[in-house]
Amino acid sequence: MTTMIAPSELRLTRARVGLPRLLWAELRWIFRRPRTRVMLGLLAVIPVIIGIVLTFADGGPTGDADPPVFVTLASSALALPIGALTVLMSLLLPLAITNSSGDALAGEQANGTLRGWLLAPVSRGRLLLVKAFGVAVVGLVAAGLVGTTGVLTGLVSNGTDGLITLSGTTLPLLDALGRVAIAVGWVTVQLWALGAVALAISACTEHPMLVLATVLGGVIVSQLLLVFDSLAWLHPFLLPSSWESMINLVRDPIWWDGLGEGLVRAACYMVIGLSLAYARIVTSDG
Amino acid sequence: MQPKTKGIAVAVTGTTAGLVGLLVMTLPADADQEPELPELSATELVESALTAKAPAFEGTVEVTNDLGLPSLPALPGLGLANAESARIYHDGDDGARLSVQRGSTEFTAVTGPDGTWTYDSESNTATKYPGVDPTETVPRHGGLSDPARAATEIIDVLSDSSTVTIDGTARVADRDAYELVLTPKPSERTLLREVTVAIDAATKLPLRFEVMPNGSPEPVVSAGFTEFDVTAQPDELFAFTPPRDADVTTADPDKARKALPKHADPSQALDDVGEALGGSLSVTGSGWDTVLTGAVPEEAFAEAAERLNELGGPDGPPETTALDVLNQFGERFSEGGVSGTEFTTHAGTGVVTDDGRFAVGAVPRQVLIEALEQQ
Amino acid sequence: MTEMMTGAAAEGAAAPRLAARTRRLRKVYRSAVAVDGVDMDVPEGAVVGMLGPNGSGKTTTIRMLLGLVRPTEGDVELLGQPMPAASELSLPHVGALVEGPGFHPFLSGRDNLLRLAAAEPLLGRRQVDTAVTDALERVGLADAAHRAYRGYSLGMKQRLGLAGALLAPRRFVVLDEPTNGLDPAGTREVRRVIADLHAEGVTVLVSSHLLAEVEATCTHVVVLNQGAVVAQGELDDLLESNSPTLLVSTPDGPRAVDALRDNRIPARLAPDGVRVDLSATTSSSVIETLVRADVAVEEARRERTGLEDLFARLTQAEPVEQDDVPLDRVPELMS
Ligand SMILES: Nc1ncnc2c1ncn2[C@@H]1O[C@H](COP(=O)(O)OP(=O)(O)OP(=O)(O)O)[C@@H](O)[C@H]1O
Ligand SMILES: [Mg+2]
Repeated sequence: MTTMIAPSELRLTRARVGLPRLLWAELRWIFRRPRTRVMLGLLAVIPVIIGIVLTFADGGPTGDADPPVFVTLASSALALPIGALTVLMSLLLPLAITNSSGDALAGEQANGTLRGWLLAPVSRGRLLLVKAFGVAVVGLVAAGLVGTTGVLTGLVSNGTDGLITLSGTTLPLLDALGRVAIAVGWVTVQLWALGAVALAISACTEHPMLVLATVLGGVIVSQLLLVFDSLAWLHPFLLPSSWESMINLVRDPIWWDGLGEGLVRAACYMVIGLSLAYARIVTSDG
Repeated sequence: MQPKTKGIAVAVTGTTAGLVGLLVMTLPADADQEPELPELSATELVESALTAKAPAFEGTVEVTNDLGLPSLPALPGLGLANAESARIYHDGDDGARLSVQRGSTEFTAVTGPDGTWTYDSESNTATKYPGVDPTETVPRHGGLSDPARAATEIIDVLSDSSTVTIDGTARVADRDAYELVLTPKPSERTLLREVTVAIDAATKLPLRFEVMPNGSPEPVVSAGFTEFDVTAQPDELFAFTPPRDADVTTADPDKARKALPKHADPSQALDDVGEALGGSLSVTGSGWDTVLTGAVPEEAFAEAAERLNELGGPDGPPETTALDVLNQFGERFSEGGVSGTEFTTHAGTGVVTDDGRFAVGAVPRQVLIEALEQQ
Repeated sequence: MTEMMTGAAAEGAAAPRLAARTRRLRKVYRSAVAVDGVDMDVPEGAVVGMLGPNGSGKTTTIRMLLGLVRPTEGDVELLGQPMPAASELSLPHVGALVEGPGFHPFLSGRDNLLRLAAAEPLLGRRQVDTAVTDALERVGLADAAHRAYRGYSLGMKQRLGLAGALLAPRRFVVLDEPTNGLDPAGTREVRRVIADLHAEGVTVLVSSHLLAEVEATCTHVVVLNQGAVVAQGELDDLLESNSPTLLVSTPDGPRAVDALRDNRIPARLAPDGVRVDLSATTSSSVIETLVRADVAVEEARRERTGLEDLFARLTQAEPVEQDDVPLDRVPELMS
């Protein structure tokens, strides 16, 4: 198109921005946000801290300072990343993903920036797609960072041997890395489930903090409910009920049952969250 | 209005789909189905179960017990009704591997061409057992067992004093199975109603057993496969090399159990009481009303009391004495010139007399006292 | 309603094309009726000023026009396309600044615009950069382009919002209170931007509380009150029809008034001369009367009432004390 056409001569043509351009713009925005960076930085550092504590505080686990995974070498390149993921899953990783979901719709709405894209126009369905993609990438990056710094810390402090499973077998490095990758992928999917639910709430409010409070509150309450055996009938409905299965990746052979169940559960949450978010976003006033 | 309708449609569809998905996960695959299987007589089934040879398989085992022991006031929330799960791998020959999941630790036992090993990740100890199959020691130790082996033993012990029938079929671990029911003969004086054993139609291996008490539809003990796949298993599963840094010991077969770790589990404390009694044990009766009797050694209580003190932690109750241990679990009784403390569970009774003897069995107290009086 | 247009329609065969059109537009919020049966026409090429007291439904109408809010009832057409059904067809050609600027505080002005521009269908990947630079220059923000939006002053924020509306070549620009928070220079710049757009043939719809600005920049006005249109049409026509008054400068005011009143022509002494109501007579007969009465007439000029007066009359619930002109005929004229 040439630039100088008198406006009245312009014919209306259905013009659409390519999806990759929107996705790229979204990612640029997400990763330039200081809050995202701080969050991810923190997540990346924690496995290193755990590694240092486990290496220098020798004498093994005592009372209230249990390492996340009971293996000989909790600071190995196998146990450390998976243990760190397990520990961070109880609060900090959900915080990261929820934070991102809250900013994606509620935060944008509060800033008045959502209508900028709606007026461009970006259709509401596409908008949700772009937002969900951004949140999904944050989940993957968060889990991936924890896994990566965990592996690196483990390799630095213990080298490539000592990759001992709970079953007492010693894994070759490649096998151990494969398991960490599975753990990262699995945690990512769990985070997506949380992110989808958070997006649904995010679509209903202008307050990112409300999204944070609701979803984290839900996670904490769920984890609390899991403690009570009398509520066993409720447990299969709670997302965190499969989170302990992560430790099954440190067994040899891996126990897949709980992990597979966790994926199905996460998928159910994702379907619910995204459909509610979609319903809200197409009907709401922007 | 159209987007509104569309939105509501999407919300309803999506939410329903998700909830149905979650719901389906809670349902056992096809629990209520009763498969059609060829007719078989009870004796034939018992025969083939006792002689069945395990194929190569892998399976997940879940054990639950609801003995109805009083829970310890010192440990709220840590009742004795607990569920444990384990995985079993079998190579169809002599190789077997058992992994018991204990929270974030694991106990592994491997039998294979290299011999038998156990490994406990909590204490990082690997133990070699010359000539002992650790899967045999494990059930007694952890209250967990290979249900196939345990069920076979039960059939073996009880079939003489029982009426054995086949009560239809069942699906267990997604496989077709016969339900074998062992009911005590009228002469047996037991607290138990029956024992049911689900036997795999294809391999004739017991897949699950349930011990049913009188007056309750819930089994007091149930052990069974929740997953059972007959497939060839890789050889490396049945070999074991102790990991770097592990404490490696070779066990004296007799003291093998001593080497196994003690877990912070109150049932363990009770187990240990029994263990310490090993020497003085005698058996009265047979079949369903078998009673174990013996003398109570002082140390056993001391040890149990110590264990309980440990569990209570620094903020726990003050020093527990042997008598406190008794009174925490049992009730005083006095009958036919015998007085002591009685312990009742859903599955059986135990008494400790004031003169330092004890008796246990899946029987009413009266039978225990008769057994004590016979000695 | 379209009476103001009938003149034009009668002359040419084709009625003027409309950049935006609403019919029976209504929006009910849970608590209140925000817009109630608005029929509004925005002729192509016009600069339409949207007036109305606070809460009269200007922003709500604009938001429905742009498809941000779904009307409870009624239809909207934007550039000939039904909204919001065909928004993908029309919105790329529409620039808008609604309800104040909305940007991310941690990004610079330029990065904010780049993010907006990424979603503009009319900007090719390679045009984005120059389009952003041009827009920033156009609103006078080139120097502050790299500073974080957080540090912008109210006026700079407003300018950035304006730049966002002007990112791509537009056919229709909608500005909701663009001069909000701007200094006099900024206000002048907005006036200039609007004039430029007008010169390029772009249709502009601008809501404002600055009546003088509207009077200076707009060709048309729409006046809303309590969710309904109380007047709309070409600015000149509205002001013209509103108050036919003749201002007569004379050294002998009182005598002129007497002479006119003798002839039953309503007149009143004003500081700058004599004000004569023309609703029942014509300018020529006024002058004739005065000349006959021997009153020296230095100058006689048809006077328009300011937009201010018109606005006040249209939007006040009870007519204020106005002793000079009987204006109660105006609404009938207009609707
Ligand atoms: N989201 C909303 N929820 C409920 N009521 C609303 C909403 N938006 C607007 N209103 C109501 O609709 C009416 C019109 O509001 P609108 O913002 O359109 O007025 P306006 O003419 O733009 O006013 P201003 O000159 O102050 O900007 C007001 O009474 C307002 O309270
Ligand atoms: Mg407004």
